[in-house]
Amino acid sequence: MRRMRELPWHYYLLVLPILAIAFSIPYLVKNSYFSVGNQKVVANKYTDKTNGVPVSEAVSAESDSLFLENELFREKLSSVAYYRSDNRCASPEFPGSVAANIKVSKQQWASIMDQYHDAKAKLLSWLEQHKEAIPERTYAVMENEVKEVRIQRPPTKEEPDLTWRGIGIISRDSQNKPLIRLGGGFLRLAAKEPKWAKFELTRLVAQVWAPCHLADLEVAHPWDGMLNCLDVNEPGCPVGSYSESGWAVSSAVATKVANPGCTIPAFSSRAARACITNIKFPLTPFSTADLDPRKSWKEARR
Amino acid sequence: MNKLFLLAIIALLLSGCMSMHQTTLDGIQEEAEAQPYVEAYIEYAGPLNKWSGPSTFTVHVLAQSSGPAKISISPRILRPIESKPTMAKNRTLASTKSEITAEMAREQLTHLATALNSPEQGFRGCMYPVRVRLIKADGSVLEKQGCRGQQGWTQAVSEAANNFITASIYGVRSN
Repeated sequence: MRRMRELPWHYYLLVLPILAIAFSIPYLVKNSYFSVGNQKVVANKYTDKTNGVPVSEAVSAESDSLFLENELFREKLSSVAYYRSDNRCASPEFPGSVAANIKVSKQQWASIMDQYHDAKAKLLSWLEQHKEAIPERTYAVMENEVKEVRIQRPPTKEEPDLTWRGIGIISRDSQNKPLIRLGGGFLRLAAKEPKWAKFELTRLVAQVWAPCHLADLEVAHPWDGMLNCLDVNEPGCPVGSYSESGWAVSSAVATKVANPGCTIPAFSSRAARACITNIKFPLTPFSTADLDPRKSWKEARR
Repeated sequence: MNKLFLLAIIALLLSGCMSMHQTTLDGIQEEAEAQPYVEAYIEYAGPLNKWSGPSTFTVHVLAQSSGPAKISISPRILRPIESKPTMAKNRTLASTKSEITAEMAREQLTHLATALNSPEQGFRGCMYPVRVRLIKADGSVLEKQGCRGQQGWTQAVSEAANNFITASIYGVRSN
């Protein structure tokens, strides 16, 4: 102790670099490269900021040369995570790349096709459950539309900008049949967020049931009850119009048959949940609940 | 006779004035048409947030000055690839990345404007809107809204958007 007291004061400054080194050791360890056998592992070199998935996992998900290694497109298009703290769904979307870099392996495509066929089967099964409640002609058209849907693997020549996007669109082919064109980032979404990818794929297929699309096919759509309940009111489908009801219908049906595990914000309220739990179709059998005087009083107040 | 002569002169003068006026109008119109498109916004609008759908995606091109064109993408998720000279198989220096010039971008925008003026298909209840705004050097605006997936100009827009995004990430190949 006495010796320490005898030390000149500036000797104590030496403590500072020692402390700095001590504090930086954990950081260096955390961000260092180290070898496990012959395999080089990147330990937390990049961390998925959105859901905390270490990149060692992400790299393995992307190891089949989906993208060139020098591309650092690790961020999502949407800045928010798939699940928010209140369990509301965000809209995760991974960016794609230039067409030449998008290579889909047989295995990857087989996995997407499994999801796609499953989505179609589930939608058809759900439709069949409501056969009695939907007008016959509408039912036949809806069933046929889902059966007719086809899917195109990325990159798509007809919509080249889609190669940079993460989800996809539904459009029509030259024979006017529904065709899903996937974005270049969808494969990454399927690898990283399979549940959400399944939901998106189901929603894309279900978009053939959009009210304006059914109107184009000259059938009355069966969604008035649900849309009124959700407060999505549109004045028909005039030429040059944009539609929210298509998103409402496809999101509701996809939630029912391929639940993403989070809540679509539009369905987060109790009233909205009730709208999609018991969807009222045009031929829904008359229920005694409709005679509830309190209900009619509430409706009258609205 | 004199009156007739006077009337003829007045008529001649008037027609001269009219033709001069017409020439001036034609000149103005030609000048306006000759103005290049120097700025463009291409917007693929997403649905309302409450449906958790794909986000709105915008490509903005600015080609006013003589230098490189400025391309910005929103949301900002695509980072440019750093330029690195690479050796091709025949051992000569291969093409390297360079920025898209304003002139090249303006040329692309002119093609886009031509496509926008082509006849279009009608749509109803569109779920994937696309909006394009082209701005000329004199400030005049050409704006069009449509639906993605339609035949016609929306495909040209998709190609232009892809070209601009690719150029902003990889640059333009120059030998």
